[in-house]
Amino acid sequence: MITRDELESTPRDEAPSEATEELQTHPPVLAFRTGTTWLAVDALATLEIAPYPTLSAVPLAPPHVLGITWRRSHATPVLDPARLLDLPPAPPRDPYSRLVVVRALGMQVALAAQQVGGVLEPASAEVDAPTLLRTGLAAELARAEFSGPGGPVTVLDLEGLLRAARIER
Amino acid sequence: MTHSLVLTRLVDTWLAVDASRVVGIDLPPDGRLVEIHLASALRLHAARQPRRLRLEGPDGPRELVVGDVVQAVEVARDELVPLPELLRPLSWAIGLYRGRQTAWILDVDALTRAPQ
Repeated sequence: MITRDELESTPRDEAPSEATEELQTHPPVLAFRTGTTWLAVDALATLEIAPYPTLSAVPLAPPHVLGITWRRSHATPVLDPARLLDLPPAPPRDPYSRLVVVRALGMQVALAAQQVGGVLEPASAEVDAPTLLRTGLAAELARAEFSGPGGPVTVLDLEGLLRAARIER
Repeated sequence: MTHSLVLTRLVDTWLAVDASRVVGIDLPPDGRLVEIHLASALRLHAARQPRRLRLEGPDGPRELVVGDVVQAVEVARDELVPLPELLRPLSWAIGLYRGRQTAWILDVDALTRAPQ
């Protein structure tokens, strides 16, 4: 018989990322666009940028869980940051859509993105306190802002994002 | 080491049941048994011509109304993986089967105990 306990004994994800330096040191960030909003997360927590695949649906999951895919041999939940943060909705996937695969808190997840802006290293003087995302979870998780090539970029607390995304029993 | 699963498909979603819990497939209906409609339980679209699995649940036998495709497969242990951490609280699944398709391995105990 297959049991949950037996499957749980299989290594799921490895140790949490070591890349969680405080933002005050202005570490490099990976910028991506969801809908019309540019967001960024710790670049050192980013594992890869991947094409947007066909997803397997997750029954009974909240709307911000778009499905799962397989990346690096791990079942990887795909999250819609726009829905999770209550931002203007992201359009359906298009040929330019990508997955930003990240690891934090021992979890590997993918963030759906309409565009990836690459790794940016803003100078300290260019980084301001967040003001653009003013309400709800988005405001809670916004750590900083700076002007990126595509417009203002809000740097998010990735661990907080994943905590908020974790489904509840 | 291999395990046996019974796979079923509800539209685009593949689901799997540990074959050791399956007593029979498409057995003549027994009106005394509690029926559990998998599509309703998981809020998926029902199959047009659903099939039936008779399961041995913790509270006795149950009829699980599943999708229109049912396949019994032998799978290798390394094709069975735990739920990703983010989805671990899912109450209806115990893991995933990664074969030709990805299938959610159902938690038979949890499903058959669900209120009808």
